Amino acid sequence: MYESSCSNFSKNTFRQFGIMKGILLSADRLTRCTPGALNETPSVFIDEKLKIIDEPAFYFRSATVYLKNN
Amino acid sequence: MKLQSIPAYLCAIFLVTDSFSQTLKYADSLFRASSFKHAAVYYEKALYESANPSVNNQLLFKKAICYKQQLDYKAELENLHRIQIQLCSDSFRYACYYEKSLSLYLSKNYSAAAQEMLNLNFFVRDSTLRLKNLYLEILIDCQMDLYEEAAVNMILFMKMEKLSPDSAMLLKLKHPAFKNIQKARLMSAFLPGLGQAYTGQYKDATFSFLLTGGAAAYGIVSVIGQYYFSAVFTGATFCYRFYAGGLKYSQKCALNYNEQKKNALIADISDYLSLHLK
Amino acid sequence: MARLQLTHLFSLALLSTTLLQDIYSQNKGSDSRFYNYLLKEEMFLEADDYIELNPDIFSTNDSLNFNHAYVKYRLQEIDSSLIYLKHVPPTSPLYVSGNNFITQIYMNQGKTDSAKKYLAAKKSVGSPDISSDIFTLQSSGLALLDRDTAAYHKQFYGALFENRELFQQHNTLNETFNELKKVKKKSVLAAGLLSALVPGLGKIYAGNNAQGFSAFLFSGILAAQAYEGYYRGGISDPRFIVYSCLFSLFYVSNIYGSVLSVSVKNNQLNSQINHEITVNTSIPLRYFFGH
Repeated sequence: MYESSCSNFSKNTFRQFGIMKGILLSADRLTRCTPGALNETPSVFIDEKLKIIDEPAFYFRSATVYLKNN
Repeated sequence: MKLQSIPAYLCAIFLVTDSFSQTLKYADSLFRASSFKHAAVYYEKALYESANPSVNNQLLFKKAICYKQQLDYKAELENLHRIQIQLCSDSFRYACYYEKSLSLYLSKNYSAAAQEMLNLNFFVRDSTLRLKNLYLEILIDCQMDLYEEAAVNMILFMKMEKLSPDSAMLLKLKHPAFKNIQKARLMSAFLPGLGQAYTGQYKDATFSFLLTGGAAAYGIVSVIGQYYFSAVFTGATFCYRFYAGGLKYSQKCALNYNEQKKNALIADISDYLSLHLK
Repeated sequence: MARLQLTHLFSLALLSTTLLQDIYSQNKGSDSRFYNYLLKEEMFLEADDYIELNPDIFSTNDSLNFNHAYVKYRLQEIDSSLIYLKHVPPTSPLYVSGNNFITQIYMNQGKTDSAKKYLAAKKSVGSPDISSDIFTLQSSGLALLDRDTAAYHKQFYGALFENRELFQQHNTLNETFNELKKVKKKSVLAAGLLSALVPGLGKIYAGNNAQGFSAFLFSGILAAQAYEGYYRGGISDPRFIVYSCLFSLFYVSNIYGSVLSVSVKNNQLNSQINHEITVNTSIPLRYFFGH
């Protein structure tokens, strides 16, 4: 469902945000791994292979994300 | 100076400063100097200035070759597709179809490459040109897993090059040593991990067996201890997940194994063909 | 006789010079026609290369910089495009168009303050060209990007367009504005409390129904197994200890995830809307400057 696998997402979270946030976000990511998530994600966050773009940074950045150029 | 020489003089000026021929000359000089990026632009310019449709196909072909030299097969194909093949001679038509097939092969689009090769064999009647494209045809057949066709073409190649039939090479083509994907899946269905072992992945086989077996054992022990929720939601669920995952993984192992064997076979064939192609 | 020959030579020389000059200017004209042909056929790589080899096809440096910037923009080489655009001076007739592009680039990158700096530069007054329409369109787009409803209303209701296509683009922008009005801001505290009450409910509140349901199932199954362990073996049962730890972990992570998912969802919706705004404002630029 997701562009990056659950294990890669965990690794990145631990690396960028530490152990506590890593554990909590990894557990949360496991519960979010469901086919229905694709319909709930805006199309700008879905890549050409119909996988959801999900980065740990999305959860901690307050500014709106600007993706690739038009 | 005689008055009669004036028209000749004016023609000379015109010829010297004719835009199309200057552009073409410049493009050719850039091509010879291996400045393919710039040469491509000037071939397009020559095409733009050209008033002769029969020359246009040649210009497009040269432009396509510029992109081929830069390894930009997509751009090469776009330009080859612009060529009006129906207006071309047999030998030029051959060159166009061959280059299309080759660029599709190099960009790993094997089914399209096979289609262009079919067009080449259908539309080009000159059999003396056949030998060169046999090399590419055999490689495309192997990539498309059409080993019998590849073997037939290989025999034809050996005949045309007057070589004695190489039975070892033909045997490799007729009976490639691949693993059966369905068999790997069935073996894993019978015993988790057996499919991986069939393809030589013994570590993964052991892992798969232990995980599936462990989950099943946990489920059984839970049932015996009357822990039914644990038996169903942990034991049975994980056992099913590992079992289904193992089936899929055994197929993937078989595919990987076959891919490696195929690449080795194609490398062997390529070496053999390039050695014997005169 | 000698005088006659001299006269002939002189006439020939004059004729040759005139002919050569004429052929030279025709070639130069054909060079720029070829460049326009490359743009029309969308062969931007070739156009880029051609400009680098023949900068003199443009009569002025400004025209060269502007055209080079446009080709780089179409090739998605945005940094190079910006550099060329900023070389077009205010005295140039292409300055306003250049600023249109710079504004659009900054809007695409979310740098609304920089975009406004180049937008406020010049608006063509009086002449029936498209630059004033583009100014209006970009101003509306910027107001929407800043979520400044008052400024947007002022731009939209005061807008007069010369060009029909740009007017329609402006209407499309208004549809995006209407979509924006429907977006309700969710409370982070409410999401957290709901998830604490029932695992997964906070995510459903944030708009992620499938994810909320999945979280509920996860926690529910772990809770059931923990309860079973406690029921069968008491508080010291290993299953009870393991499953209750796992349940606690997923319970807390669900609350944490629900709280974050509200802001993530807001960000995602904002990004989607911003993307629609910038696509709407960039379409006219490609259409009008590519032909």
